[in-house]
Amino acid sequence: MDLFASLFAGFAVSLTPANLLACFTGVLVGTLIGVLPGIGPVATMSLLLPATYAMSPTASIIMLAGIYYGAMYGGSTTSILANIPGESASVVTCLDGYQMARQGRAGIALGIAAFGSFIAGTLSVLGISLLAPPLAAAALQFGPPEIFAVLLLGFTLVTHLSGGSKLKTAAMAILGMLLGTVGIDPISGIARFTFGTITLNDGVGLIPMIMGLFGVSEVLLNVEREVKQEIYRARIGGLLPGRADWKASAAPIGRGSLLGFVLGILPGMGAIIPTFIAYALEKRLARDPERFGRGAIEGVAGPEAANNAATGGALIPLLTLGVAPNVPMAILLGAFLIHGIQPGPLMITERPELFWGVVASMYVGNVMLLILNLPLIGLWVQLLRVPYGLLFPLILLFCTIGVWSEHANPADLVVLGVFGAIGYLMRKLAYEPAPLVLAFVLGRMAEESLRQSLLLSRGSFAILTTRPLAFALLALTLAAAVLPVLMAAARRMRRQAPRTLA
Amino acid sequence: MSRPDVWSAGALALLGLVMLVKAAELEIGPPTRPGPGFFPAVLAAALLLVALAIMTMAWRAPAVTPSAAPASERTDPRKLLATLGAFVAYVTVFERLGFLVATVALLAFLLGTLGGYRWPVALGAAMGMAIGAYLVFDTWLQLRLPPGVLGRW
Repeated sequence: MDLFASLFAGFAVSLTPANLLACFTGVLVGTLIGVLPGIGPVATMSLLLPATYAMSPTASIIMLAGIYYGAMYGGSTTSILANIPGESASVVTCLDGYQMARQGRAGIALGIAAFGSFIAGTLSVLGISLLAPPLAAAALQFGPPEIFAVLLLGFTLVTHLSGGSKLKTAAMAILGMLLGTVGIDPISGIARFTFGTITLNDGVGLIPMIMGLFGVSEVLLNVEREVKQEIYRARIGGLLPGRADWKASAAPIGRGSLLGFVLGILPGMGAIIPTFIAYALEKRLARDPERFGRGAIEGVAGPEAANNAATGGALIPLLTLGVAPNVPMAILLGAFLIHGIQPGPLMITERPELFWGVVASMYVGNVMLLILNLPLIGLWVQLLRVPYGLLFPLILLFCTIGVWSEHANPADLVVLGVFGAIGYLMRKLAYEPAPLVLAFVLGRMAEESLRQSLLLSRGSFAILTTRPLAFALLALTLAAAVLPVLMAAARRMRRQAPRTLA
Repeated sequence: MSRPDVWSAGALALLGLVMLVKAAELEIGPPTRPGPGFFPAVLAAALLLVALAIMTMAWRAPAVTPSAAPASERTDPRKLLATLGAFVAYVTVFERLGFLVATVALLAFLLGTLGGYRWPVALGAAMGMAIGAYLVFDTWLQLRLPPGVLGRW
């Protein structure tokens, strides 16, 4: 078959020593920066971009892509061990991963994250090989109304994200969206709620906000308590997931892969939103949703699979249309252009060695990452034995460096501190930070896409229902919102029925 | 009545109200052609309503126990304030004094007071960590941390 011949040729390209080395360097650096909180794939890819000028185009793309998907592997480690997201797509992994670590299941959490990432990564590369051209055509259908409909679906699922009071979740989601409106209005260019500061013109920074809410607040909560190191000491035990863990994780990994891949293709999605939706989906499907937030392995497996699959999905619009759906892909696009190559529909036929070489290298890179990461699990788990008195200043240090490295702006450090204090108060008062962060990310895009839709339709909301794809997505949203209520009502009626008979 | 919930929801309601007033200063426009103030105004109003709902429920709740962290846990607010204070001071002088000086001071303070290490150990560990972090992030990863009073080397 043609596909196999192309893929075979791709492997021949990716297995040359120079390209193999590029792939290894990429995934190694990617894992490292994924583990280190603060420095993310975007910063690293832009820093290393000049270093790839001297390489062949294929090798440079292979290396830069390796950094991106390698970072998705490493990001889970810090989330699980320290409750700080190693990079922003691992926020959700904190929720259950950290709880697993506290219960002495750190090794298993890291293991399932690594295997889940490997499976999802490989499936998404398979997806690229098979589906790149047709899916690119579908992505072209995605305008502002469709994006708005997807975001609405996301919001509906978020309400299931938290385990606590639904009203408090709603309050945090609204607050998150409200924070998202801070900064220059994307449509009119008017500054909103910036209080005359330049820093807030770009809005509240996502990185300082996440680092503050999750990292700094965690430190504040822990220093105040009599620190219980023995929780970790108790039982670090099994390093690899057992049969029961696999049974619980298999379906979430499958669903997370599919979800991440499909959402990853869509412009503007990035890797964060798929993880939130995967988490909400797993919680929704679980027979006992109360376990989520208390160390449910599904809550690690699903989102970790989703963020790795999303990196594969994001490559599709880039390689087939020349459109960068998110910032890391924009850097990759830059790398193509520097080498005088315009990615697009013609690239597959005109530069097959490049297209299939990069795709094949991702199969190779995923295997490398698994081999690289499994032995490291034992090492990472040892980190939990470091006394907290020594660890917590380091966590503050990493949060500061991470925030500083983004813009070198002292005002961002103030934002970090403020959100650290807010996060502390929120946890004390039983408000959860995750819905706030997600609503912050989604809200900004939702406002923009709805207002763009209304500009397109000259003020008619009918644009959301007359376009078939948008209509289908809205119908799905309605079902996701109404079905749980109906099902709960049906269950109540069934329970009451025997009583009336008696 | 759940007192912490009444207070926290009250604070959220106040925030909603303030944002509503601020949003009204921007152009709101009709729903079919929303201006820059439209979404903030709707969101602020929603926040106000939800916060009032939480407040009402908390007011009616019979339980005396706060819904937040269990009160049985022994906490020491002095440690919290010391950490927060040290971090605020760190952030304030971070750029002026530079990464190395500010970081050694912060780490030595935290390790010596809250970490329970003896001062010479705390200072040594702080210097080791700060220099290590500088070498990794600035020298190797080229992140350009502020050099401050020591200058670049």
